[in-house]
Amino acid sequence: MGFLNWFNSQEDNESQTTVFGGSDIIIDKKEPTRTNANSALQRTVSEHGGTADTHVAVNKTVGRNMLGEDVNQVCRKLGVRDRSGLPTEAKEALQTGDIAARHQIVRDGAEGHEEVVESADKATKKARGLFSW
Amino acid sequence: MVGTEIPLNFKRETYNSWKFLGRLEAYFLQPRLFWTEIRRYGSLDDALTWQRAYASIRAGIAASAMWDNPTIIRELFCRPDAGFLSEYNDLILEEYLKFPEAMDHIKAGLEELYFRSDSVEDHQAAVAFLKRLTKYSSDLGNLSPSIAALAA
Repeated sequence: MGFLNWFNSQEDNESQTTVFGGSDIIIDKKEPTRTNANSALQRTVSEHGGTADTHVAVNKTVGRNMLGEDVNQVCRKLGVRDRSGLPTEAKEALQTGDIAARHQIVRDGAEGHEEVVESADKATKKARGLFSW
Repeated sequence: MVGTEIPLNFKRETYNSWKFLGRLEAYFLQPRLFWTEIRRYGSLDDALTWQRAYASIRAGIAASAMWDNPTIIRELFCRPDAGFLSEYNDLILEEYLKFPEAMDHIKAGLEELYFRSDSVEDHQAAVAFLKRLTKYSSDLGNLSPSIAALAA
């Protein structure tokens, strides 16, 4: 199934199409950003029965898998305060990881701490392979 | 508080949190070290000891998570889901603020929630959290004036 098929099958879009006579669809087209990707992932974790610890474990797993080392360590070694100070390549990897993890959690229908963390781990191990480090 | 009965499930939750922090930091933990850790906070029969230990371990988990700044505020302090997490949330916040980088993260998170998010929920969370924060830190003078004004 291509993107268009999927997109038209979303309920929200359909109702908007009717309201606006099918010609003038309102499309959510805000630019994806790293912080939005992270917020969306955290929301998905909550929706899939994640607890406070699940949020932490998922974040840690995504960071460790995507960068190959702990995000805290990387920040410390580079002398930056937080994720926003990381080099662009690292931020891109983290954003990719957050997006991959979110889709995997939904696709797997993961439910509860163990399953959600496992999906995040699986997704980010796959995604990591694309990066050169 | 000495002599107060310490609920078994609170001890268990403290133990689980300690184990979880160890896993996050990839430490090799021997269960018996748990008691050594708790004794650092005082007598094992004192309820305050356990509260201090729990709050400090939880704050360590928050620091270890290395969330994006707004997420720290949202997930940890605005909607703590587990019972003990909300019961001792103020204590955890106090302990978290002891980390040297905590205040910077919180400030950056507040600014992001308030100025760069278009969700009303985020704005409310930022204002509510800021009000709470004024009780715990004298360091608020360093906040950018536009953010500090929200607390008034």
